[in-house]
Amino acid sequence: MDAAARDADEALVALYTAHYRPLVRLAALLLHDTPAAEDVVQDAFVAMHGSWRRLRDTDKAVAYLRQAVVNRARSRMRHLKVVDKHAPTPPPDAPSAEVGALGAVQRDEVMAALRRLPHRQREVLVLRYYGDLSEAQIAEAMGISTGAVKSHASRGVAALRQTLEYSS
Amino acid sequence: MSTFEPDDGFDELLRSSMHDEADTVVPAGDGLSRIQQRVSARRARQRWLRPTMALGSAAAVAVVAVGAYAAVHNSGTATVKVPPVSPGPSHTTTTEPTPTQTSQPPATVAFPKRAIFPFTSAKDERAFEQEAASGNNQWADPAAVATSWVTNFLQLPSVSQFVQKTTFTPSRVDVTLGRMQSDAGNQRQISVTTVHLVKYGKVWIVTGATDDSKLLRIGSPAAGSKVTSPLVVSGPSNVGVDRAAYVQVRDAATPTSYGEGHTGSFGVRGWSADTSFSQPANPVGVVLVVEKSMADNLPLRVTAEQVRFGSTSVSASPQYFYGIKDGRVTKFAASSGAALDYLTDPQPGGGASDPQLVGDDVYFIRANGTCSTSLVKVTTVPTDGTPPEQPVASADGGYVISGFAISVYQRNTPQASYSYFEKACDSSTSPQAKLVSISGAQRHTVSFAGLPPSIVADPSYEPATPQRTFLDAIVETGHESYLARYDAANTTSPTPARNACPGYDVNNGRPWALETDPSGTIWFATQTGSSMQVVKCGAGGQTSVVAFTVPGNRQPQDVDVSSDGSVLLTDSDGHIWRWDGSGEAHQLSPHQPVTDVTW
Repeated sequence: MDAAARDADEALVALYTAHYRPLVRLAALLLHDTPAAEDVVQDAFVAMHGSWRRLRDTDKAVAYLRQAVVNRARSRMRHLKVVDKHAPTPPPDAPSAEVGALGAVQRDEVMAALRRLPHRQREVLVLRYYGDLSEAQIAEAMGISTGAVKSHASRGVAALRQTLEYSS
Repeated sequence: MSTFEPDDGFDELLRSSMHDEADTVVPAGDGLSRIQQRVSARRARQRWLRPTMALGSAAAVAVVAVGAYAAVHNSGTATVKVPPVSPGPSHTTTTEPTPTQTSQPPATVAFPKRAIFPFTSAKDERAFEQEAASGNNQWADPAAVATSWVTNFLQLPSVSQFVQKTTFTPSRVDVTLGRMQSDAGNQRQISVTTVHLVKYGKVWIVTGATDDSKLLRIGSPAAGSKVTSPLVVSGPSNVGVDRAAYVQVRDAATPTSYGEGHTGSFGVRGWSADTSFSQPANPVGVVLVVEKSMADNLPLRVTAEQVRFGSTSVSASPQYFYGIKDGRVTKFAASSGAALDYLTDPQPGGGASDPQLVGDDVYFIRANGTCSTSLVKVTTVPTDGTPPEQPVASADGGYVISGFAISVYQRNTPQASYSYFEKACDSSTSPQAKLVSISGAQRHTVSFAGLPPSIVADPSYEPATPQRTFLDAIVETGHESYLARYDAANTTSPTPARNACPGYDVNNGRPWALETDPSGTIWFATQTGSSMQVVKCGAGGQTSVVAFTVPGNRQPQDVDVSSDGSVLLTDSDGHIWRWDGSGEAHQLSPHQPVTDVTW
């Protein structure tokens, strides 16, 4: 095995350790299906490993992974239509009593409303509110302009407000 | 103000809801190992691709060679389209972050030899294009072709989900299909099979399917080989858990299964399945192997390859066979057994025996008087007069050759391999016999101090591997015989521990003659006491199956398999039977006994 291949293997392990779980969660928010999310993220890691000779930089690799996950999740949604097929997994350690129950109900409503959004709007909002990415980073991950990010975000938030009957 | 900066608490509601939801997602702990497995598989595939890409210039020549056809078939212009150089396979299911491959019309290629679906010949494809010139082309999308083939023609409707498409060149792609699997209440998508497709004209053509995990592979028969019923399908295994699969022999052109076999459970051992199938309606078929999931009993791994059905009519079998008549190598009519021509001249004091057809040559043993034999060959290509005999090898002094094998690989070159068994003429000679294997300048000898043990009839080479060459032979140990497997360059024991066909119980009949065909299948003739049987033992030898039976307590003398799977069987009294790949064997009627035959 040559040095570049060893480098790619080491980068794979390091990036997996730091980013696998958050990327699976990101994909799960998009797909609402944890096994499918894992597949998507694993696909992305395999592709990233194959492209390591061109990347050779952790930041670039993370951006690559994020973009690959978003693209693949979108593709998976289109081809497999897995959205809303399965009930959400109950939280393993949800806070007990009324606060937890109320919080879970509210969260479920938000997530249900989120899932009803068009793909692009949902992706923008997930990358922003779960991924904590800037508009520029979201634009890069989705392969669209920042103007388009703003447009999708605006429409997405408006749709959620209407669905959740949330008024300021 | 940024779109993401509402100040009424909605922003925080979305943020906390998504984080709370995300926190409920707990990935399985095997993610890294699964990724690393796939990386390894990808590396292996790329290693395989490199030599292919290195042949780029040769391929370009090939493209030019078909240029005349390309000009007509593609566009009507005299332009030969050459595919763009690709850095390697690219997955095109989704938009990759890296620059995507330039879209360009695929190059025209020769019609794929392993074509299965939707067309098995260039003629059929051209007919389709003419009919569909102004209409829809349902075979223009490789994913749709792959899905249609797997769900409709292989009749695996559950394996209908598109997983990914991998583009190697503009005219070669893989499409991976999968399904949703239920396991302990959870649903997840699994990849079941990767369909290989080649672009020809305006359509994508399936050339086979493999399991990406490499856990389910077909070792025998080889893709594209001719098969006859009953067929032994076998393959390796490399995991230590019990698994099972079923095998179907199917038609390529219609959703028809001609027959099915089952492997039984297998783990670290290789697997094999006897598959008897009915008379095929078309010349091209598919061997399909399906391993089912223990979780939901639906397909877990699927692999399939093209096969061609061996001749089932007399007219498709070889027209001639060669045998010995009047001590001379003689050409016979395969339909009747009538002698047609002599290939050798009579030699006072020495006759010819044990002919074996290899390529265009008949090899045979030439006796040169008392205790002197040599291995010679003569061409079957018609010549003016009798063709000259060409020496191949001579027995050592004091020995005579009683059986031999010629490797089909590198024959007629200095690296040719052949082997012969020679016996001492005098009972006081030591050793009493030798198995001599020649490979180029290398000579290896197995000494038989006394007889028995002894080799019965001719040994036969297994298909060559880069590492080792094996020789199958019937070894008589006294009252019994078994099918031994010699490492042609290393075995020293006259009775090797390796059994070439452990799946055969010698209590079912004593083997007297064998031949190993180019796919590695061993055909051997046995004497049961009430009949002669010709048995097929698949590569790996785990399973044997009776191909045909000739009633009567006779002793087989020779068995010979043609390239299309037809068989000639002789007994020690000089009777001949031919079998054409299915049904019963029928007896030929030579004017005088013929014991050793070849075709």
